Amino acid sequence: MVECGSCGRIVDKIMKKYNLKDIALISGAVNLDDGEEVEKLKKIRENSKIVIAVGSCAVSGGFHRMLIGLENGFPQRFVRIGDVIKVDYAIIGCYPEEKEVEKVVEAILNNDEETLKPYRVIAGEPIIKPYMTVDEVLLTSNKELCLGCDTSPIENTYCTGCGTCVAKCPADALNIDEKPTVNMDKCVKCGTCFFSCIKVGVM
Amino acid sequence: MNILSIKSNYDGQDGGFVTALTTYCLKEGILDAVVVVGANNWKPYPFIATKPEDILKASKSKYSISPNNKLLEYATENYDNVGLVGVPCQILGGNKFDLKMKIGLFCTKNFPYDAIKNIVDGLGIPIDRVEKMDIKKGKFIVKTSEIENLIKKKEMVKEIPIKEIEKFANPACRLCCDFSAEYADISVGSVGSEDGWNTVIIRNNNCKKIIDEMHEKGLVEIKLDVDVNAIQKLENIKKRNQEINKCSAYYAVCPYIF
Ligand SMILES: Cc1cc2nc3c(=O)[nH]c(=O)nc-3n(C[C@H](O)[C@H](O)[C@H](O)COP(=O)(O)OP(=O)(O)OC[C@H]3O[C@@H](n4cnc5c(N)ncnc54)[C@H](O)[C@@H]3O)c2cc1C
Ligand code: SF4
Ligand code: SF4
Ligand code: SF4
Repeated sequence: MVECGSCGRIVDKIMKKYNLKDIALISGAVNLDDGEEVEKLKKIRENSKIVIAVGSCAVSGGFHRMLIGLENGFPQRFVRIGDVIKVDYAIIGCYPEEKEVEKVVEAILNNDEETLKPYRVIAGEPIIKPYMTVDEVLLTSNKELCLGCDTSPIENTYCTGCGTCVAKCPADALNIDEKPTVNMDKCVKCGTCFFSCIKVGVM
Repeated sequence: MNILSIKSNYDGQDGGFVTALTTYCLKEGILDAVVVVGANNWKPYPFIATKPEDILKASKSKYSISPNNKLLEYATENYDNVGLVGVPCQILGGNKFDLKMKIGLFCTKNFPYDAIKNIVDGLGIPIDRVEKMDIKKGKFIVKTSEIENLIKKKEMVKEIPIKEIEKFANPACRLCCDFSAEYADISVGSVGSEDGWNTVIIRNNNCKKIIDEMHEKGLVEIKLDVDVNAIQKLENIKKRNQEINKCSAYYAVCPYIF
């Protein structure tokens, strides 16, 4: 799909390492106006038992959603993979850690439901409803969906000020003195800061 | 795991062992760069030390938040063997990077800088005169020296019970479960050792080898008598937070929902 290539490298490596046949790892956002690409995606779905979206672009569209591409005078729309086909598991991160992707693949091979739960929930409905159980809220808080309260990766009260999220942000959008703040002009809404926070136990 | 009391020749917070170890690692090429904390008027700032003499700027504990880990991406991209000195929450974040050595500090709580400044002001001491701060035996202790006349310096020590100031601490520390930096390669503190000595928990063989070398070269003194119960007691207090944490992590997500 459409991407910078970082997630693609991880996907290739892991597909080879585990010699995966019915499990498809897909990275990148989908160009909805590229018929060939959409068809290819649907084929992959038909031929695989399980589809995993790898990386923020695949999971939420990432920064591509903010691009208004023009090719030969036609607008290009970029969406997340889940808008085109059903996704079983989603791994957020720009780019996600290779060992996290491996962890998910291994959990699927071992039927480890407990480990897979957060990734299944993230793959689901892309909307934070006003009333969700706390479990769901934790696991779906993907920055794309934020209702506007988020000017920091997590609620500042619970932030230790360690700085980990700042180093992990791919867009250099976080500033920190004691607690981090998001520069919304730079933020590509990938959710990496949230998922790399030491207070969020997904790793 | 191996617990020792260690003292070095450096003038540090306690035994100066962290300063000695990081200096040694840079000198011997075991590390190319270490993330440590300097300060301006006790306002901490993290920096990457690459030369032994840089380390001296980092000695002594600053009891304010320092976002050390923000430098880890840059450090691991630009240097091969990177070390991190940090409190337990920073060491936990350090797990997400490819680090050669994680040196953890014992930690019960930390403060926003403004809070520490107010507390020190309240004791009647201008912050730029402070020579050392310490949290020991339930007290927050501030040392200064006033110049009495040209040759003589008079030392002044003021203290306040931790109970009176803990409400100003970073609220995140109330949920913290790690006292002794369990994920570090080596953890350093003062609890459990005599004044002027460090308690050191060695958590892997590589660090043990380095300390043996330092000992052979006469860079550190080592004693075996550590009050392990005193460490255990503080660890247990923090472990109790684990239960609270299970629910509070949810609040960390989105205040809009509640
Ligand atoms: C906030 C805080 C709370 C602590 N609480 C306890 C406690 O309750 N019980 C206990 O036994 N020990 C505690 N310590 C550890 C203790 O104060 C000493 O750091 C430790 O004993 C090492 O002593 P040293 O003589 O080897 O230090 P030094 O050789 O002087 O080296 C100090 C090192 O600490 C680092 N440092 C200083 N300030 C900070 C900071 N704000 N954040 C991260 N790193 C920093 C510096 O980079 C430097 O490398 C705490 C330390 C801190 C920073
Ligand atoms: S602040 Fe950075 S890490 Fe967080 S969502 Fe925005 S771009 Fe991603
Ligand atoms: S990783 Fe989490 S705790 Fe650390 S600075 Fe970022 S938001 Fe705060
Ligand atoms: S008490 Fe815990 S959260 Fe607070 S500074 Fe120390 S290690 Fe970090």
